Amino acid sequence: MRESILQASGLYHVYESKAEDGNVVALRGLHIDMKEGEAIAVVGPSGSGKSTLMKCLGGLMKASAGSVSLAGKNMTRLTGQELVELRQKTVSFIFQEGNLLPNMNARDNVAQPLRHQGIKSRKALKLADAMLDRLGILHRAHALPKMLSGGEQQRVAIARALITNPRLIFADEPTGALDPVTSREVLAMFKDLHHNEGVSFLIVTHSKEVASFANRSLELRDGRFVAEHGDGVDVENLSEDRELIIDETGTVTLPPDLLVRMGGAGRYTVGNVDSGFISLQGETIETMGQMVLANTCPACKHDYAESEDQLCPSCGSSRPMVEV
Amino acid sequence: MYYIGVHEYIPGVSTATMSSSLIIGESSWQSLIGPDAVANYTSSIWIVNVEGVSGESLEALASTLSADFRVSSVLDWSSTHKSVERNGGLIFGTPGLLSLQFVVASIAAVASSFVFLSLVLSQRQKELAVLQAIGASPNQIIRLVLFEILSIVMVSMALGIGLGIGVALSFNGFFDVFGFIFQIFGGSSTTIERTLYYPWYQLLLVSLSVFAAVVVALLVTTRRALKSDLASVLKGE
Repeated sequence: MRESILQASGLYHVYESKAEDGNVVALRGLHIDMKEGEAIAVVGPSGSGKSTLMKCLGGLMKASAGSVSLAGKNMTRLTGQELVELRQKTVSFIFQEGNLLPNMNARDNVAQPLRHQGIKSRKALKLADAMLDRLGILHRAHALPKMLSGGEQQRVAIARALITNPRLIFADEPTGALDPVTSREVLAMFKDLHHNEGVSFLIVTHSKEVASFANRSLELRDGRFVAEHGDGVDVENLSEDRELIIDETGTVTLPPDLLVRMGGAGRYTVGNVDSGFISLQGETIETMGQMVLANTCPACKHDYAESEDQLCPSCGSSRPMVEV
Repeated sequence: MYYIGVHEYIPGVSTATMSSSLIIGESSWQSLIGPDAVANYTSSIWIVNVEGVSGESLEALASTLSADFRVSSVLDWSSTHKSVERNGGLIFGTPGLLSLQFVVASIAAVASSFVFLSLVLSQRQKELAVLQAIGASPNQIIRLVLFEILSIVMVSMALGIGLGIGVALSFNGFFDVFGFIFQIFGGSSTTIERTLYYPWYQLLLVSLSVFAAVVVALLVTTRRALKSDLASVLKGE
């Protein structure tokens, strides 16, 4: 049995807001157990809490409730400095855009995380050169980020993430800003790291290709993991191969399309129950037949027409249900 | 003597000498140190009270005195003093204005440093978030920002003070132009003599208060920037 690199239980996060609707609950009691060397993709529509989840798991932000353990250490109990040290030794982040420091050349950008760990600049630069060489961009070592192409920037960002020899890499839409060819190259690099060096990946993505690289994909909707998908997930049609998740507290969240097919929200009596099987019989389904998928996207006003899409093809928002 | 009291300016006497000098009448001086010492006293500057002489006869006396090869220059104390006072020499009449200017300059410097730093740091929020994400501790980031901004502040302070003194000096020369214009209309030699007075104490006070304000503003704005929503900053939303 492999060791867990990342565990979270009962993870909640609430963003305080002065808006009329009050505070926003971004994460609603998430459980996750990630084994060493595993690659997990988190898929789901925009605004479902993916980035918040990554931030809480990576220790960049404290969750409102619940606990997160990274490499066996409970992050909620660590002090600020201990947390920084744990992050430095264990995790790295890769973002959609390279997010390089604009005033430093590629080499300095890669060496920077080592400097934060107290490694002498000369040694850090030497290691940075070796890392840039490994990723095939040593010839661009002295270029400033604005002189690099999107693909090169992302390579530098990957080099920066790898220089600390992390056990787990958090990637937030790592290929989101890249063209298909470059994103394939980046993905090939991830695969190499994953298979040959046993680096774990937690990737937030909208991309089919990136998600298919993961061992499993977790579908996040409105701050809850609703389903799990095996490898080869099709992010454009999540209803195909999903396995619903019932967590330790017995909570299950039905994806909207499934709810429509069942008839809608209401009271159900439990029919046959067997090991690994349950049947439900609708009794009083108050809004039965009255809830349908919205015709237009509330965010960008895209017209769905006859389509059965769950995600808005133009902005990626979750398609809500409306009463008729 | 017209002017009894504390003087910061007497024509022909440098400001530095003034601050450590006492002017007393000859008879009082004699009674203090004895007539022999007074008779044998030598000095390169003499202030002589010529009571009852004024106008043309005073000018005549001045030219007679300056004609003597042992005398380097002669100044009419009372009229020069009056003209300096009338023409707004920096040390008479203006201290009130200057202290007002000092207060305004201090407030403006402190306020603008706050606004400027907030602007700079909000633009660099993304950079700070990136630093945090790649493993910098909040203290490391604050040290980095302090070092960067304070070195800029110190260099610009030195430049500003140097530039200010330079402008003051050149403007002082510029005032001679007015003397020139007065001469055209007045017909007589009307030089405007202005003694430049460097407010070192006030300069130090302004510099220190700006420095302190910058440090406080930096700590406040950097801490606020570090607490901001990392994910949204990094995603550029």
